Amino acid sequence: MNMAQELVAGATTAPPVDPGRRGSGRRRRTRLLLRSPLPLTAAIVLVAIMLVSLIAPAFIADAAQRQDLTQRLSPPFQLSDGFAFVLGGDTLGRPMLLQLVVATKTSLLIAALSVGLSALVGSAIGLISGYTGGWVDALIMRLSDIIHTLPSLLLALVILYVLSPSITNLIVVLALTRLPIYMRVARAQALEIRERVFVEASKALGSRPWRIMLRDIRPMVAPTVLTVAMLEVANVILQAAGLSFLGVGLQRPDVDLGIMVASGREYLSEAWFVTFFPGLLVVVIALAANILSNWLRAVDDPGQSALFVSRKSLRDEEVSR
Amino acid sequence: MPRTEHDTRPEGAADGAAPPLLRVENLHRHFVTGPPRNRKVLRAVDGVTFDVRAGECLAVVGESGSGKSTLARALMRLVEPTGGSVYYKGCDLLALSGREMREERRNIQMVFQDPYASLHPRRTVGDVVREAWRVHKDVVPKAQQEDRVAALLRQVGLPEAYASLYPSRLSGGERQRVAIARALALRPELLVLDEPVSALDVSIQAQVVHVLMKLHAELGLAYIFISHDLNLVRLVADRVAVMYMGRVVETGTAEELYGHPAHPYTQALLSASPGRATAVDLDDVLPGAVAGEASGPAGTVGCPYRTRCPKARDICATERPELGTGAHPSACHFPAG
Amino acid sequence: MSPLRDRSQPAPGSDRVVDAAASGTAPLLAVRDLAVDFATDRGRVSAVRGVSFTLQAGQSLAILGESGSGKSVTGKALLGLIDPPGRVRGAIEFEGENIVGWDEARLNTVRGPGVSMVFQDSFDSLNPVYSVGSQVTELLRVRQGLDRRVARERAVALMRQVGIPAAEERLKDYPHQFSGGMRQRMCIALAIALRPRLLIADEPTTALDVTVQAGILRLVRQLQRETRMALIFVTHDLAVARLVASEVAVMYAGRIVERGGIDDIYRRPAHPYTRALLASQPDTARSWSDLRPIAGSPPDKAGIVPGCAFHPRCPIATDRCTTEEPDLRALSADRLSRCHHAEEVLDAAH
Repeated sequence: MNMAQELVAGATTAPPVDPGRRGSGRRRRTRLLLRSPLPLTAAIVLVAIMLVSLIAPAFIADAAQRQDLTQRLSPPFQLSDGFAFVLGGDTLGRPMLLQLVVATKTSLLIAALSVGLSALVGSAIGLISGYTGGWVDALIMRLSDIIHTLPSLLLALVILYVLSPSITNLIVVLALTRLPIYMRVARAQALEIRERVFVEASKALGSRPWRIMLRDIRPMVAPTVLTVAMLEVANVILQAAGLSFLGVGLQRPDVDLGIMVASGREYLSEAWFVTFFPGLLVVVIALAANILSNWLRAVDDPGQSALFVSRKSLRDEEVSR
Repeated sequence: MPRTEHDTRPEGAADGAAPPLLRVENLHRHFVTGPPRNRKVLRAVDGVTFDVRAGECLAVVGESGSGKSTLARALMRLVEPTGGSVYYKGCDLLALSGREMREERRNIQMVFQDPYASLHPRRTVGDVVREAWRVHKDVVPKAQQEDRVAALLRQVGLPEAYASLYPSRLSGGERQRVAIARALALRPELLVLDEPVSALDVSIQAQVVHVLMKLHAELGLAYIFISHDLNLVRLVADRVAVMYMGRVVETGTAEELYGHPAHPYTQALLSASPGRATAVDLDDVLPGAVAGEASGPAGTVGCPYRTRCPKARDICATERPELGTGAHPSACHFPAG
Repeated sequence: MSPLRDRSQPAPGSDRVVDAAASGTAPLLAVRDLAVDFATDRGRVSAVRGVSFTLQAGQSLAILGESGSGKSVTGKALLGLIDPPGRVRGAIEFEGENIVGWDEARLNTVRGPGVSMVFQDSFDSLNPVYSVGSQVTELLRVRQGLDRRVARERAVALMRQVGIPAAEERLKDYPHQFSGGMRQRMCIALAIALRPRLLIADEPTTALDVTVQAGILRLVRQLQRETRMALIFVTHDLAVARLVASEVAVMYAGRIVERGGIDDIYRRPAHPYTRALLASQPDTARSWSDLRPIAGSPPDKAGIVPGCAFHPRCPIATDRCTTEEPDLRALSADRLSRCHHAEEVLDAAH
């Protein structure tokens, strides 16, 4: 009997693989998300806010900036002045609702760009540091320690005070202060993954170090970095708002949520809503992003005790694997 | 590259005419461990010498901690040896630069023990195989890669359709066959197989062994087959080297070594292997030797096996027995037979 | 009483058969229609699907199977170690009492002095933050009410019994200071500390070297002889099982497919799966080409095929095998097989 033929025959008669049986990571997450009410709500809220703030400003940018002194500090929840003023008017009589939409767009944009920048640069540095090891690693990690020990808000304040406050500078400064987080995460992962057998197998093929970093280790690090970045979006929105509130962030006529909160502070007693609505929006976005990223982290790491993932659904996953 | 189709294995002693495909000479890999004040040197590979001839299957057997896996990695330079030489067709691999070594790697490929860990989890089977050609661009032209992947998968007994699947969908045996296909992608002449079936279920082991031995015969590949399973090694190896604490203590053809084990450690291993003798009475197996563990006395003086050895005498504590030369040498002062 | 009967199993001879040794006494352990399944988001997945067997005091049974056969889950179920979402049905009668459904407190009265277990991974079974000595003495003090000095003496005696040299000095050592083989001996010492009447060993030597394995197997046998303890040895390796057990139950896809005397089955299997398993093992082959791989893939727990679970991989499967599930039936006084063609297989062996 020809064993080789028998082998091939044996293999081909194996039951066909059902493509739906073991979902990819993304499928599995979607399935779990649909069953977890709190993270699902957070996701819906975030997506809604993002859609509105990305699409709407194209139509309402002019209306948002139009000052109508008769509407100055006009109270909210009155439809008599049109829907634009349903959340009242601000200190110069601009419609709160439209201002909020535009400000949210700016805040999200700043957050996304600075998070993206620091995630990209930080994880690249961390990856190199973790994979290379030795003095390169030691040097990079001490640098990261230095950035880390300085209070990030203070650092940002000083830099922005020296440079001129602009949207670009704001993004760069925010990215710089959050860099160490990604460096650490990526480095820790790279340290672990470089010891895995598939990396050794890649070396045995003759891969160069850069190839191992980019093709073998990077795809394994990316999901963790993404989860952290998600969490960071909330932090960065808060920080950008803080800087704008302190006057070193964005400058009028640009408007973000921090500026809106700041502009209302002198009228707190007579017009609470000028501060309240942008403040509330910051809290809602930050909270939703936090919930979602915590949930993501818990899904990827079943060992973590998570508030948001039902333990049962995770256990089911394990059993069925 | 043309291949010889013959399946004649070198039998018995070296004929001396053909130079070996691979010659490992006095290879050392020492690890320094412990806190700075109390450094200890672990001699994982401690002066190993052997030849592998073209088309031959040399098995390296030993228990955990014997240094057989480190030996595999050291001769592949996946860990840098701390001394000795590895000649591949007469060229010393340890003297090569990083770039030259990467080029040379195509000739010696490796299959790892754990097929669940050795394949990149985010790469399809096809990409796992193609990765080799992305590293060595001149081996298979782009246009032929798809056909070549299919051919390689067929060669290891997998359906071509598996090329688009991720490893997580495959069983252990299937994954190991993918790992073998990857190792073959660069058309090597020598495969280092590090416990290639020991992570698999018994019924699956046979499948992978069949694939390996079929390739061995058809392609004339030389193997360094590292294993702890003496029953399996008996079936696949032309020659066997037994390792204990970083050293080779006995080598010989499979027939000689299983028929007339010379070193007391080889004898102990053989008598402890389940299934060797039918209805083994455990109480008759190996008096004295089983209680001990593979941890010999430190240092370079004397025989490392003497503390477990029933034959140990005074000379074993003072003089280190050397592995001699010849067809069936053993590193023992009092070899059997 | 029907000490050995499988689900819907009418064969009349089987009761007497495997319990020939019983000679009328009640069995130590009687497992009836044991089924274990786990809830998943794609429905319930069966790991064990109706396993029945009995065990007399002092008897040694090997449960042989490959990964996914349900052998380990069976072992765990006997100790009440299946947690939700796992569900256990059927009866596990230990000394006449059905322990299925008992709460932890009640189970703990059986665990230790009744049944205890040794696992494959000795490192995970010992607590890394306590010395091994304190783990043994603690057990003896809590469960047997011994005072500190007596417990210590017993601990040293136990460690000597399992072959740990210099036991007195090693009491203070922590698990990581032991080698793999010594750690497994320590686990055995813990498992037999309360003098169990049944020891379940789940692949206790799989992670060990052959020379160390030989020592552990010898120890287990010696303990069994000395204490008349019954043994269930869960393993994937028939050659190893032969060294400690006299009986074997071969499991496939959550069911026992063959049962009988171990040497007998080794020589003359009566189920195609057992036969295939034997033919795929290297210990009796003369050359690699004598090894016969089992075609096809191991069974998928999520979707059990209709008919005989082994039929997709079976070389002698007929139409009947694809539709009608065979019963575990008696072929002779001490042999059961779950195959429609068991006689053919048995005859072909010689």
